[in-house]
Amino acid sequence: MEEKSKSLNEADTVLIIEDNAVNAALLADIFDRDYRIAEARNGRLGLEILNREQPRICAVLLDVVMPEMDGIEVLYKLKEKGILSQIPVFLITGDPSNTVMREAYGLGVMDVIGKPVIPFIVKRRVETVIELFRVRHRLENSVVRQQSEIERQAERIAELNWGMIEALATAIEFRSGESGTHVRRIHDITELILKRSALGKDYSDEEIRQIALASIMHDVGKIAVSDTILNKPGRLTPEEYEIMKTHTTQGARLLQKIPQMRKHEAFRYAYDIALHHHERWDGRGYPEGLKGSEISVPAQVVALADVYDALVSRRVYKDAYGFDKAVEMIRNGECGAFNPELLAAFESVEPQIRELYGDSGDGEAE
Amino acid sequence: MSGALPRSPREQAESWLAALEAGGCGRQTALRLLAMFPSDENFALLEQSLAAGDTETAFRAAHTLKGVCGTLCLTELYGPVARLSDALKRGDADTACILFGDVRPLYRETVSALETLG
Repeated sequence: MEEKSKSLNEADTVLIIEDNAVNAALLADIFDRDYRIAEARNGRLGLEILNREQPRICAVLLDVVMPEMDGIEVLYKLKEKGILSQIPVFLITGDPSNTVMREAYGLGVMDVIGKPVIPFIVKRRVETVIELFRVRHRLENSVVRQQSEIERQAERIAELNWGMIEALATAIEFRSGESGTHVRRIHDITELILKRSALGKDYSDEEIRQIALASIMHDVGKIAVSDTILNKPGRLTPEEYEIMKTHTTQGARLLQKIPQMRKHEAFRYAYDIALHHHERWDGRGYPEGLKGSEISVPAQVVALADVYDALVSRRVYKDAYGFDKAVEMIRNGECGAFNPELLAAFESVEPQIRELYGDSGDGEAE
Repeated sequence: MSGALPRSPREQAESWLAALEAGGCGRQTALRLLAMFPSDENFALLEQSLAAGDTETAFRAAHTLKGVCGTLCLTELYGPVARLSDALKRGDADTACILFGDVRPLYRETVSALETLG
């Protein structure tokens, strides 16, 4: 169906620019069985038709000696407009001298045909070139079509990757009795802070997109932590807490073991975020006890997003806090120390972060 | 007085028709094209402009008439008209007027011969 409409859209008109009715009639007769014919009695009228119907014109047959504007003048105009490389123009002349031929070929005509014209020869010469131009045109179209098809497929693959990563992260969230909206919100909060504050100024839009995608996998290491610890309603014993803390190193290890993940543009962020999203600005976080700017900006942002979302959501071990209370607790360092610059950036976009939680208002996220 | 054309009008007309068909023209188209010749205005324009001494217009008319003769395979008329056109291209009005003396009767006989095709 597409092929059919393509061929219908193809240029189908032979334009005859010839002042004499008899000559024009003979030329028209050669082509009118296979093409639509347009006729102009002088160069100026011929140019008008070309301007109006250019996409439909597949060849121009151009006489030389004509009133108002002769064929050579027409050629100069067509060259100026760059039409000679798109539509084949045949100069038809009763005076095929070297001078005329040289000038015509120099300007870019496809061919010079001497008069009197012999119908079957003209038909053959013109149709061969029309077919050549059509094939070239179709080839160009199919290259463009294939290119956009490849782009569409690449987009679909990227979407699929995204979907798989989100599915994996959500499955792990479910194990800790959470709905899966947590990872989605960490993604959105991370993106918001980096996009809307000075903290993200060193990252391109694409890098921010990758960091936000990587943030989804921050807790992937929880898959290696047993359900009893993960879902324990009360306080964890020191031994249990040590095991819980391994979800950072286990997450980094897991990501490193998946070859497809290692090749993903988001890998370096995902690895760093999984490993370092519990580090704190004062060096009192885990697993490595990194301090200050030793912790990357993406890991710092995800750490804060994780804390904020945990505070305003209900968990097996706690109720949800209100938004204002959560901000106050973070500001007071009750969840560990954060970079002052990050805190300022967070507070500047916090009203927009609240909007991610819909109408629940009291900070009850689930 | 013997005619300027070598054959009888009917035979002459048939030969032009055959030549056009040999070039790839269908018979109906060939008949239609030949029937257009008498009303082509270039001969009249040539005659008037020569009389008025307008060499430039005369040249354009002669050039186009030559082209039409060529297109329609009117070979007998083509040669003299081509020579007339060349003279006018050079700006040689005197030779052109002499040559026109040959062209005029040939043109009239050509038109008459074409009329036999109905």
